[in-house]
Amino acid sequence: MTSWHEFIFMGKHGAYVWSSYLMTLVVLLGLFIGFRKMLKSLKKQVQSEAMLPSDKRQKTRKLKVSQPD
Amino acid sequence: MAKAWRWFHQLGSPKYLFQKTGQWLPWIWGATLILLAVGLYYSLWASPLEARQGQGHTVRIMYIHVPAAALSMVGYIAMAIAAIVGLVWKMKMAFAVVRSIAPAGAAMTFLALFTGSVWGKPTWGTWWEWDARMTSELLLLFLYLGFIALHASFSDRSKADKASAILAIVGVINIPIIYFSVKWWNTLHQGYSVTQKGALAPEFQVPLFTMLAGMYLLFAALVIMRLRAEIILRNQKSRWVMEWATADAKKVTHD
Repeated sequence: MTSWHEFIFMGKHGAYVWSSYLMTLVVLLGLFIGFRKMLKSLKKQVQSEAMLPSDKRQKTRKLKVSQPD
Repeated sequence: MAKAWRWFHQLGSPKYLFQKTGQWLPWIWGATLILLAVGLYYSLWASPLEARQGQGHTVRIMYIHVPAAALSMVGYIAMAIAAIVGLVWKMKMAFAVVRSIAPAGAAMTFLALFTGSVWGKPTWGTWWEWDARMTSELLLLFLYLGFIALHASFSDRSKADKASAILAIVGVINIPIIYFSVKWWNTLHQGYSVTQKGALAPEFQVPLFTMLAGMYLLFAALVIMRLRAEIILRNQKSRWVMEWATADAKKVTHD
């Protein structure tokens, strides 16, 4: 790599190279955020149930996940 | 040997596995970020253009295409192994691992197909060709998605685990087909280069192997994140889950 110009345009192939890297970033970041949210939401659900007085608690807890994966 | 077995049994305990993975995760993320920072510096900046095939800058796509494709297959094999462990030893946590690999594996398969397609256009002049390598990789994506869909279709979790474990094990036949496709058939996709001595010049090896290491760790980290959510979901009735969830809240009220 000799210049910023070359780095951005990748010798006419900028769109191919950058779209590959960008898609990878988007997909992997999406998984990261999704999994993080999933665990946080599960934690919140358990917490809010723990707040209830013991006679109002359900006998079986049923946690929900917003997304299937 | 006895020690190894004890370790294996301990990992079968949801609470132990949840605690251990929580300790490992920051280290794995740290190593991942360092490797990816170095890897990206080489892949996008400090590595030379490809001249022998006339690829120029498009060779840079290789540094994510190859790790993604490798992980799509390795991830599936890991899924099948965990599925066998789950079925043979009736180990519940093994099924949780199988389920946790699937989304990250599907993502890697999609990325291998996407980057391959984007690389194919400037190199071969086509986005897609129904050759053996690409078709079998596409089948792998459907196997991952099929696994997730099958698992979701049962309301009883242990039935879902068993049925989808069988799909994971049967589907592993596709892996050698993907791997050997470039040898068994005439494919548009090029033959072996990473594992073939002399086929990949040293200046391309540095970025590729750094990115491979970084992506393997990233994959492991994502699987572990998903696994931790899966463990909580599957053990929601356990006392330790309640203790884990309320631990920070207690700290606040007692201070």
